[in-house]
Amino acid sequence: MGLEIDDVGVVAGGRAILHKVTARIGAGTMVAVIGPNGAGKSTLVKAISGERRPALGRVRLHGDDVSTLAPADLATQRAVLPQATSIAFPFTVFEIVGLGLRQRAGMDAAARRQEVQRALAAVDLEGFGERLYQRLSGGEQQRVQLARVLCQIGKPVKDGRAKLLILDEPTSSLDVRHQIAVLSIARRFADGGGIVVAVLHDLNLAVSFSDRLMVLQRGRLVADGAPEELLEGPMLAETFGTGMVIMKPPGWARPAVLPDLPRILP
Amino acid sequence: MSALTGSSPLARAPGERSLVQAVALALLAFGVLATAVLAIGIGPAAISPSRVIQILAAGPKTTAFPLGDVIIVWQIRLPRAIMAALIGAMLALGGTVMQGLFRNPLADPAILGVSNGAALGAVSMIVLGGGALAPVSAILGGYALPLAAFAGALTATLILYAIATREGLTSVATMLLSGIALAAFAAALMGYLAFLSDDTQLRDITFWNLGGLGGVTWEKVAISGPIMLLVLAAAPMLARGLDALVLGEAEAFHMGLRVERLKRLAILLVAAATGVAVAVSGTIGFVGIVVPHLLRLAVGADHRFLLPASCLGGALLLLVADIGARLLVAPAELPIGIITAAIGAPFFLWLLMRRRDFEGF
Repeated sequence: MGLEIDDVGVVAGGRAILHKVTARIGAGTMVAVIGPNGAGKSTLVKAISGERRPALGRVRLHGDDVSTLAPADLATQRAVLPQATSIAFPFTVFEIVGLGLRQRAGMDAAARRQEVQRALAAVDLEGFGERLYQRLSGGEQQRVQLARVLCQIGKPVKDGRAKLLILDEPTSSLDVRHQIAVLSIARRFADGGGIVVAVLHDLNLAVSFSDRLMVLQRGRLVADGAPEELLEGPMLAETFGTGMVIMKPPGWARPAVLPDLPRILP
Repeated sequence: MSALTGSSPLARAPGERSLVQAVALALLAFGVLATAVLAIGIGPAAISPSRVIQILAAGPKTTAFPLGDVIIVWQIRLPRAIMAALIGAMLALGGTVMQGLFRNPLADPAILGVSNGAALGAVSMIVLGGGALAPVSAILGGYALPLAAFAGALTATLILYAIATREGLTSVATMLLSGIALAAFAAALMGYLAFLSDDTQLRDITFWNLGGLGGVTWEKVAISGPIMLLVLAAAPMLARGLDALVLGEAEAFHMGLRVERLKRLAILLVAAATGVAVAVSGTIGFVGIVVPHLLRLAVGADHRFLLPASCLGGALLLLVADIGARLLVAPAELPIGIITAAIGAPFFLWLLMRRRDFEGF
């Protein structure tokens, strides 16, 4: 059944910030949510994650309404990587990542330690366990959070049900190498049978890594389809309000997108 | 690997601070007991620590020791020491939970007006207990004062939380400023009540403003002790939730926490701890900010450790402060709030300066 988004509408301050968004996302799919600033991407993510109950419509994961599931149940089948997380207390990296395991029952201390180490290795932060989270760079903090999220979500599929991994701008403070590393992790999660919904600003990363693009503009889902299809028309340029050049470098499986600078700049 | 790392507190397994934490808790507990024995021995009639222990071991009805010593130990100084330890635990616990709730190490019931709210509740009961609030005090008896203080603390905490936190995010500036305004408003109302009060009531009010443990009896311990033990028993329920809340309210929800329930429980606990402490001993400031901060620096911020450690650390600090209060101007006695403020206020300023260094506010 996967993730079903049905006619979802969100209203804030008397203004509709999401309007009748409908989509079905099946197991093994990675979807990139793209759109200009203020299009409602983060709001959609909040509705999907169960954090914000939509005023209209509903979001179901394997048939269960995410806004009525008990938080603890929901947490075993979906995890969310936030945009940026700063904390005010001296927690170690190990402690932060370990928070992701709190809901998982039946693990002894050694198993937990191993799981945390594995997650830290996956985000290229081996040996960071003892460091204080507050002292890390923004990009390192984001990878620590990803490690925590990986600990929480575990394997992509459990009892035949795909789990849902939500990433809200996971690459915003990362260097190029780690952007690719983080999205590769998400890609593997989808390839392993899970569902990934990622808000991305970088169109090339969105095109290269995802199976499907959901394009939001002013609260509406204006396009939803495979990256190659969506790149063909003028849709992207119109949505983002800027000219785009789409090309296919030799040997690339998918096209690359660039703002058409010579035409845009005076 | 675990066999190696288990052998020394210095060679820790990655991220495992549990051994250090266990040692710290044991040291703190020992410190509380040892200081309590010292506190019971110190005073105009000095009794050596070993004799204190013997008298305590012999029981309140012993005839093996001079009656005067037995009465001093059992009837005067033991209830005071127990109360000092419990109040210290309440103050530090209130601070720790409030800091977790606001996700900020500067949050403290005394600084942000919650203690003043509690004091306002208590002072209202003192001044109006024979008048407008007479029916309340008639029904509640000895519990009227702690309950009034609790109500005052709860109101202040709720207002503060509503103002300083928007959509799960706390603004430090708004939190501190609204705390200042709340404290000032409660102080103004207390000033008005003082204006209305007679001489006896006025003395009581002054006592509330400075804080002190004078006149603690077993009767007072019997009324407020069980409330404090209840608060202590409820505190561990918050530990996991406060750890998750460190990341943010949305993140805590994502990790499976019932955030609203956690926040309600935390607010209740802050109000109860502050209310009962203020009802017994007046407003004693800065314990709630100094103790958890030092413990976090020394041993870590994990609330499963921090909550019990703060209780013990607060107990220890208040026992020491009470010894100071009784020694510094003997045979007179300083209000204990003066001592904690003299230690705590510079500490708070130092904290602000350090934070400015690396957080830029």
